[in-house]
Amino acid sequence: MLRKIILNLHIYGGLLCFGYLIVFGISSLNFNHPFEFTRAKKAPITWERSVTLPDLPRVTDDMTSEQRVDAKAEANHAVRQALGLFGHQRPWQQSWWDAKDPNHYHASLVRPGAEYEVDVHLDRNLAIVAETRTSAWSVIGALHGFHGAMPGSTFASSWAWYTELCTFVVLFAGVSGVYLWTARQNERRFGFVLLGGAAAGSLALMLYLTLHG
Amino acid sequence: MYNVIRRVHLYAGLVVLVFLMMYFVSGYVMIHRPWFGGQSGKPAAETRTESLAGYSGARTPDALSAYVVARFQLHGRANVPPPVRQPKDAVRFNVVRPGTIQQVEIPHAGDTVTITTQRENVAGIFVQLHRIHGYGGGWIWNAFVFFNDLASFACILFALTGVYLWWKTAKRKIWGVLCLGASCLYAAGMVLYLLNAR
Repeated sequence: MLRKIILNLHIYGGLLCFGYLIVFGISSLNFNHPFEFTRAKKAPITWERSVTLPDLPRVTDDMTSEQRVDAKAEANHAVRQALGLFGHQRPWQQSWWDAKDPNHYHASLVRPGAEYEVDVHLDRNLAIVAETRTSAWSVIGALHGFHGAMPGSTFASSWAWYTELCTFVVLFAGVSGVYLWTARQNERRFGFVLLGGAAAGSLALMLYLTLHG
Repeated sequence: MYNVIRRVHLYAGLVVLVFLMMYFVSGYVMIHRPWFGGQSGKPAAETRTESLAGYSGARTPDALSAYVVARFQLHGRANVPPPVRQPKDAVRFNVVRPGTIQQVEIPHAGDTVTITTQRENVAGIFVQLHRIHGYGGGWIWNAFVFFNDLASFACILFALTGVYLWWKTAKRKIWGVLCLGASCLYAAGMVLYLLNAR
């Protein structure tokens, strides 16, 4: 009975994580083999939208660097919301108030699949957006380590929960797979040799690199 | 055919089990680092300044890093930024192994080298094990990355062979179809959404 429950969890948990395993496998291989074509970006396209952002937070000379970053982060989120976009914002050197034109703010936004460089002209109530699309490879790579909330998109944020689920499913599948295999009488000797050799080799590699490098 | 696929699923699992477990555990530590102590518990960084007197080779990042790594026996994999990404006044690179980061700075003026060694806490060791990517650095590092490749390929293999094994053995397929369909729709939908949504 227990074996059957574990087998069913192994099978159906695995099926539920099919998509994640494919994404994880492809992205991990791509990290080791970052072929140029997988990093390709499309040429930026520019579009405009009228926006009204009268209270966009500003940076002042008496602010600390942390306060400046906070102010620009708040400004970037306001710009993102005004444009109806979703994604993270880059509040460091990528975003800035124009020292010569107090009505010009540059916001930098990024998410898997797209980057947005936004020039907001407060006096004209206008945002000019340079949008760069990345490739499917880049999106798959970004989903590999994507966790936490994605501002402006509940759907994209839900991937974090899928990552949580699949992490536990894979860990369970590993342990339950060994349990299900050991319950079988045949293939045990060869399996133990394989498991023992590979486990010893894997652990030795990790220890050696950690202790010696 | 069924037996062949079943054995591929089983034996691939046994071979990459430890690596795959390490990747998913360390990945979990990475995304929830504060739960595992965050940056606390790390010893203070140690800085030492050594003499480079007697070095007569080229002052390029590659030549200097090779010399410093060998002379001061820095263990790990050297990450040397190309000249265009180096600061104007010095050559900087780091030598990393899981748990230890050694940052090296060689000012253009003078014959000294400053080596700052930062040791990680346990969570940091996991994170750095997870972040080892790309071949290079010697055969031990390459063997580790090869296992990483095997584990990555095995993820795809488990998914495909698992679907085949389920399809061949399940008497009632409705629950499996629902699980698989939901998974495929969600993952493919997410990729398409991120590619096409404004």
